[in-house]
This record gives sequence, structure tokens and C-alpha cells, in this order.
Amino acid sequence: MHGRDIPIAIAKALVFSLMIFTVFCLAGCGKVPEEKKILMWLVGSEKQAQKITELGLDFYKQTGVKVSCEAISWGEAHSKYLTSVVGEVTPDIGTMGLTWGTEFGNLGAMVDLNREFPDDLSELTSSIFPGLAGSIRYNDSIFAVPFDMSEYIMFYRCDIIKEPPRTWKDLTSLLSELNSSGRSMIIDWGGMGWIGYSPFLWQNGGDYYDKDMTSATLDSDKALEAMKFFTSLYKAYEVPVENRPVEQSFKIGEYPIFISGNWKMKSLSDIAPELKGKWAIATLPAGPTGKKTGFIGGRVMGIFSLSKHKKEAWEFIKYLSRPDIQIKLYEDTLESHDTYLPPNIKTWNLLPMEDSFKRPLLDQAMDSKGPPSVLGWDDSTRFIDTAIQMVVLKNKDAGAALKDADNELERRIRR
Amino acid sequence: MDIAEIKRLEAEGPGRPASKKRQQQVLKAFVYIFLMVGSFVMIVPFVWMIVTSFKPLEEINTYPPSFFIRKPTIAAYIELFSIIPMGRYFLNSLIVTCSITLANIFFCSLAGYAFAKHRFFGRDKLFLLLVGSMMIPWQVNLIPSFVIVKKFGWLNSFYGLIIPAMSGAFGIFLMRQFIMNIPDDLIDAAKIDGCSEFTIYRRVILPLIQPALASLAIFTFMGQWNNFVWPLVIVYSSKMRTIPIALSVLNGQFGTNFAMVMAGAVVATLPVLIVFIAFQKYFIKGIALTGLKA
Amino acid sequence: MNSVLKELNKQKSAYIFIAPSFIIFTVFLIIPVFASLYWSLTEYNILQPPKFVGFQNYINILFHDPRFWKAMANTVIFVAGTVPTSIAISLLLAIAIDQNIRFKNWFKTFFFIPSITSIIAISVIWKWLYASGKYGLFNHLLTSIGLPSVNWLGVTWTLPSIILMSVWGGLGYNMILFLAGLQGIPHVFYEAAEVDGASEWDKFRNVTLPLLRPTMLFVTIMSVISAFQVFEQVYIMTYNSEGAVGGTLDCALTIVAYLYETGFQRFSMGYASALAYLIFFILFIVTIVNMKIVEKKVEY
Repeated sequence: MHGRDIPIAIAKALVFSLMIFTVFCLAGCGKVPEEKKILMWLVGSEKQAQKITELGLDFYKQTGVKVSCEAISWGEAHSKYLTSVVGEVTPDIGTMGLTWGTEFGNLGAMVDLNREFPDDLSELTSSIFPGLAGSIRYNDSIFAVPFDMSEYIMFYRCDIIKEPPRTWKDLTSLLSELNSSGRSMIIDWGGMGWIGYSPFLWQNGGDYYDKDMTSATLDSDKALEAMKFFTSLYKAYEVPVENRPVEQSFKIGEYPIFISGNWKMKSLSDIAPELKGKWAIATLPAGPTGKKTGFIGGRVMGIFSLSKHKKEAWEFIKYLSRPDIQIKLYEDTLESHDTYLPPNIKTWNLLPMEDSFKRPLLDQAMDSKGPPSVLGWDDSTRFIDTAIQMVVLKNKDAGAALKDADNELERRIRR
Repeated sequence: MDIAEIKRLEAEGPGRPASKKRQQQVLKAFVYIFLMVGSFVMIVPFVWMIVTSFKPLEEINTYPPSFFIRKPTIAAYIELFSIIPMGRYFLNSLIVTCSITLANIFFCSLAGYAFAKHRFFGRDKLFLLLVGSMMIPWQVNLIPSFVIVKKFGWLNSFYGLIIPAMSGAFGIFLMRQFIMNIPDDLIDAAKIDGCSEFTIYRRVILPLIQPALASLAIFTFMGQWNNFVWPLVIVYSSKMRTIPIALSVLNGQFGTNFAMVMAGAVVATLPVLIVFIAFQKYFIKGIALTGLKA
Repeated sequence: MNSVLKELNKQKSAYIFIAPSFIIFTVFLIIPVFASLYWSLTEYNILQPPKFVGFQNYINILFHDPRFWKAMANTVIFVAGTVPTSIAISLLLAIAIDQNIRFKNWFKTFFFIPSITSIIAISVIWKWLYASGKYGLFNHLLTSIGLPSVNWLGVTWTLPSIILMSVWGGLGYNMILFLAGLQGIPHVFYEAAEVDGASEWDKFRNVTLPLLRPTMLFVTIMSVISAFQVFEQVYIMTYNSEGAVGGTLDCALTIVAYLYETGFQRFSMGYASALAYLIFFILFIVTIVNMKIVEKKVEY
């Protein structure tokens, strides 16, 4: 009779599973680590975390400090760090988004590297790309140093487009030509948002804040011109307002040119190997000021205040910043279909990469900027996004939209 | 042939007017068409997941999209198992999920029985509190719960993963709704026979709510197997990870290796599918045990 | 005297029955709920101690926050778009599968597949279905029969697209509940109806529906609660490279997505908790009304 044996089976299984898990829990306790051990969280892939743990073995041989690296996924990293700080179970080293270091640091969760390790730090940051260096410094504090970098770059089909556009004018005339045959360009990374707008703003000599970062400057004429040009790409030159699958449309030639992050190089060669040799990359078209400034981002790494091994953690950060180790990281990620570009200029001389790719990447990275280092910036970006979207989708006046955004930015500057 | 079918055959009986039979045949044809079209719509994504997991990288983003694989490969699976200690994570997930499911079946049906068939002081208020608690989004309870588990020293342990989830408002509510349907006469009869309360629960209530227990088991297993946020927050060493946590970091920063993500999803989905198929039969058995046939 | 003791004893066993569940509840739900209730009256960034501000958060949300009202409107549209559709279709499915048909286990499995497939896989698949231009499968089908393509994840269509996906994904879940409910209906009732010469429709209206009320109540309440708290789908379909949720011009920002952004992206736990309590308040009233309506009719 089923009625009887089901509850008994449930009870049995319950007792059994409770036993199992008690055994597991007991097995987990009672181990006290005697060696110095540092834990690193990597926002990224499991594979790269394993490679870093492997590098840790080498580091252990040199220093006697054990390292283990664990991956956490991008989507949840912010809440994972937050709870770990609340629960006082932070790792020693954390990698994170470019602006998070300042954010967490100002809440007291991270070590100010500029105060703890001033001498080493200036040496380490001396060869960082200038755009990144600007984004990690907050007043006189630096809470995290770059782990890798991603940059804006232009991709084009060299069998369709003979010469990549060098200026804004070149760009619009190329787009007119493409439009006549039903084709256009895609702005992929950060399109219809502040990341997409930033290069045009900078290329036109504008910026989000003034030099001392005390006042927002989106109401300037330069910002307005840049906004008008940027939004005209969508409104007059058929740049799609929604995300398009870049690789497919590039492959069939509907969008033979796009602006995106450097990682698309890897995905193009993986996904569209038959296009090899038919595409190239180039620096962004220069604006009226003659500058071709792009956007630069990347992960940063820092030390949590609760770490018991700050010195050792710092040693490992320095180890990871060594050019030979950075080359190793680059090669490892290529192997796992991911992307890692070294954030310091010195390493680039050693980088095993085809010159036709390396030159434009390096050239662009030297003239790139990251997000402004202002507390409250992360709260402000959506107002810039809204301004752009209102202009493109709802035909709002560009000047009025920027004025609104400027007010919101102004209100959110916290010093 | 299952019991439901026998019953229906009996019910149809002989000597039924021909027009009614015809009407039923037409109805049945509609039922089949409805179910087949629906099934097709449901299954397409699953097939896509499996197909993608066997595709080489260069075939993943083709235009137009294709279900056909030119060069099938199991590279994604090999890579998956070489990155993740699948055995350990599988065991973790299994221990956590099974313990929670069994505990839920037991505790929720007990409490559901009390709420449905007992009169006690504060019953309705407690029940309202219970239902009300479901309305607070988990996002706001995450941090306080985390702090409590930390105070107990249960971070990064099976205790922390299992104990907070051993009973749930959803389960109790579900059980109460089903037990309310059981006629009081059955319980009263058992009482006259001198059964203790626990015996009534075991001998009368449990057999009668098997379809509901099976539903609860399926939902709990499924929910816990795929549970992501709680383990993510309280587990901070790789050996305590569960499968969803492991899967979430398969993707690189820019998520290009869809084949491996899909392979991971296939591997993660299979156990739930098996549990579902295994528990289905209890829905049907449930009818035979309704006890009201006579 | 004896009967009083018996009554007490009866109560005692009820308390014992609910004890394990309520211990877990109190510790892991009630206490956290009160903690966040307190937070809702504070300004709290999690890392520094909370600062008491009274009802300021609630006032700000209700009177100075247009995004809250936008999110509220989107959420109401989402609930209205998913709950009735999903209940109607899944009830039909359950009834169809409950008929005397072949392959019923296969059908059940097929319909349940979306519910068990990993949300990562589902999102990748649906993003592919919804891809813009001619690249997505939906647009591929539309354009191949001569219709214009739809910008599924643009300003106008994002919310309907998420509704469609959610209905699709939730059918199996509700179907299982309805099936369990249908199978709990004693067959004698149908036999009695047949003796009276009832048609299939009469049986459905006079036997199935009334006896399915407890299940119906359960499914409705649970669907409304979970639809009101919709988050994962919105998060996955709309989050962008900067971690913003809700899509272009907040076209698909729902209330819990907004709560998540406030609490976990911007560290305003006090504000987020106040949002949660407003959600709670609304749902509580909706549920009580729901229970009053349905349970009144349950008496037969």
C-alpha cells in the first residue's frame, strides 16, 4: 500500500540525508590554516581564475604565500562584494569594475594604496595608460590598480570599405555612401548611452566636468555640438538604435563597419573565421579638435581593509602587474576564447600580437579616457543616457536635454 | 493503462447516443492539436539549447539561424568538465536540494494540516502572517538573513545552505489548500478509531495529498536546484559551490563561448528533468488513493 | 472537563505541527523582515551605520520620484498582461491533459520544460528569438511572410516581449498545480453529473470550476505575488554593460528591478527597503481582497 510506505521512505531518506550533511559539515570544520594564504576574487571567468591560481603556485615558490583565486560572475559581483563586506568575509584581493574601487574605498571597505604603499604604487602606475590612471585616482587616494583594459576601436570590412574614415566628415560621407545601398554602421559598446557619446564629446574638446571636478559642464557649446553630431548618426545616417548581432551583420555585409570594444577581435576570429583577412581595425575618426579620443575601461584590483595579509596581497598585485605575467595572462585568455589586454604600456612592447592589430590598439589606447573619477558618477550616468535617448527617440531638443542632464550631474557631485 | 483511464472508460459505458460520441471525438481531435502545437512551442528552446551545445564556435552565430549542425562536436562538454569539478558540485547540489525537498515535504504538510484542519488560538493571524511574508521581495531580506546566518557561524556550510530553506510559506500555503479539500468525515472517523494526531496525519492525510506532495517536491527540487542568489552570497570557497554558481562563471567577461554555456545548462537541467519524470507518476497514483471511490 | 483537556491536547498537537516551520520562519524571515522595516525608516548605505530619518523615504518615493510611478505602471501592466493569460491557458492545458488521451506524460514533460531550463539558457535563447532587424527568428518568420519586422527590444515592445516570454515560461508551473487540483476532485461528482445528463461544458462549469476553487485561489495569489515581484526576466533582457536595469528610457523598469538597482547598485538600502514595504502593502491588500472574494464562494 503506497499510503504507508511513502511517509516511511520520506522519514528514512530524511534521516539519511541529515546524516550525510552532518558528516560533511564536520569534515569541513577543524582545519586551521597555518600558512599565509590570500584569497582573490576575480570578476570574470572560471577559466581565468584557475589560471591565476596556477600562477599562484609560482608565487608560492618565491614567497611562501599561498594564493587561491575564485571567479564570480559580472552580473552579481556588486551584491556579492556588498554582502561580503557586511559579513566581514571579504577576500584579500578583489577585482572589479573600473569605478567600483573609488566607490567601495570611500565607504571604508578598501585600503588606500597611495597611503599604504606610496613608493611601489607610483612605480606601478607610472606605465599605466593615462586614461586609466585618471579614472582610478580620487583626490589623493588610489584604492585599486588596473588589472586589464578594454578600449573602443573601429572595425571595418576592408574588402568593402577601402579607407577607414579619419575624421567626422569622412565618417558622415562614408555613411551616406553606405546608406544609398541600404547599409550603415553599428555603435555596439555603449551605443545610445553615455559610453557611446563620450568619445564624440571628448573629440570635440568637451567634457563632463571642469578641471577640478567641481562643476558639470554638459551645458557647454562643445557638448551640444558633440551631442548633435552623435545623435545625427542615429537620426540621419541609419545607425540602428537597438542592439544588432554585430558578428552576423558584419559577416553578411549589412553593417560593414562598427565601433565596439577590442574583445570583438577575438569573437570575430572565433565566430567568423572565414572572414580572416577581410577585416581590419582602425582608430576612431578624429573630431574638429583633431583628437581621436576613445573610451577605455577595464577591471581593477584592490585590497580589502579587512584583509589580514595586506602586505602579501600587495606583493601578489605587483606580481600580477609584471610584464612577463601579463603576457601569460593575455595568452591564457586567448586560449579560452576570452580577452585580456594588459593595462600598462611597458607590456605592450612584448605582446605577441600582429602588428596590424597592435599598432591601432596602442595608438588608440594612448588617446583614450575612462569614466571621470567623481563620487556620484555612477548615479549620474543614467541622466546622460536619458538625454541621448530623448533626443534620438522622442525628438527632444538636444540643448534642453543636455541642460537637464547637466542639472542632475551638478546635484550629484559629492566631494 | 492508468487508473484515470479505466475510470473514464467505465464512465463512458455502453449505449451512449452516437452524436455525443462524435462530439467527443471532435473534441479530442482539438485537444491533440492544441497539445501538439503547444508542445512544439515549448520544446523549441530546449532543442536549440542542445543543438547549440554541440556546435563548433564558428557555427553558433550563423545567419539565418539554423538547427542543422555541419560539424557536430562534443568539445564544449569536454571543456566544461575540464574546468569544473563537476562531481563535487553535483554532490553539493544533490545534498542540498534533496535535504531541502524532503524537509519541505514533511514540515510543510505538517503545518499545512494544522492550518487546514485544526482550530487553535491565533491560527488565522499566523496564516495571514505567513502569506504576507511571501509579499516581501527577497532582495530586501537578503542582507539581514545573511547577517543572521553569519552570526550562527553557518556561512560557507551545508547548515547555512539547507536550514533556512527547510520550510516555506509557499509549501505550507499549497498544502493547506489541498488538505482543505479533504472531507472532515475521514478525519473524524479516524479519531473515533482512536488514532493519534500524528497517525491521522500519516495514515489519512499524507496518502490523500500525494498529487500535491508530488507538486511540492517538484517545485522545491526545481527551485533549489536552480537557486542562485542565496548560495552565491553565503558560499565563499570553491568546494562548497553548487551547480548554478559554477555555471554562472563559465562565461568569460564577454560571453562568447555559448556552446559551453549551453552544455552547462544541459548538464544542469537533466537532473531536474529526471526528477520531474519520476515524480509525475504520483499525480496519477493520487487518484487511486482518494479513498472516496466506494 | 475531559472535553476541555481533549481540546487543549488537540491544540497542543497543532502547535507542535507548526513549530518546526515557525522556528525557521521567525529566524530567517520574520526577524529579517523587521530589520528591513527598521531600515526603511533610515538612510543606510550598508557599510556605515543607519541614520534614522522617519518617513522621509516613503515621502520621497511617493511624492518626489517619477521613476517609482513609472516602475509601478510597468509592473501593473506586467501583472495584467501575464496573470489572466497564464491562468487561462494553463487551466486549459491541465484539462486537456487530464482527458483520456495518449502520451499524456510526454505532454506534461514538454510543457514543463521551460520551467526547469536554466534561466541563463532561456535568456540567451529568447534574446536570439527577439534579435532585431532580420536576424532574430521571430523577425525572420515575420519578414518571410511579408510582414514588417518588429523591434522587439525597443522602447515600445520590450515590456510586451517580456510578458510573452514570462507567460511561456510560467505555463508548466501553473499547469502542474491545476493538474494536482483536478486529480484531487473525487470522481463521484462527475458520475453524478453524468447521471443527470450534463454536457462536458456543464461538468466543467458546475463540477470542475467550483471544486477547483482552493487551487484557483492558490494559483491566483501566487501568480499575482510573483508577477508583482518580476525581476529576473527584466534584469536579463534589459541590463546593459553599465549595470543599469530597465531598458531604454525605463521602458521595462519594474518595481523590484528598481528596488534592486537602488539597493544593490546604488547602496541605498533604506530607500530600497521602503520600496519593498510599499510593494508589500499593495500586495497585502490585493491578496486579502482576493481571498475574501474566492473563499466566500468556496462554501457550497
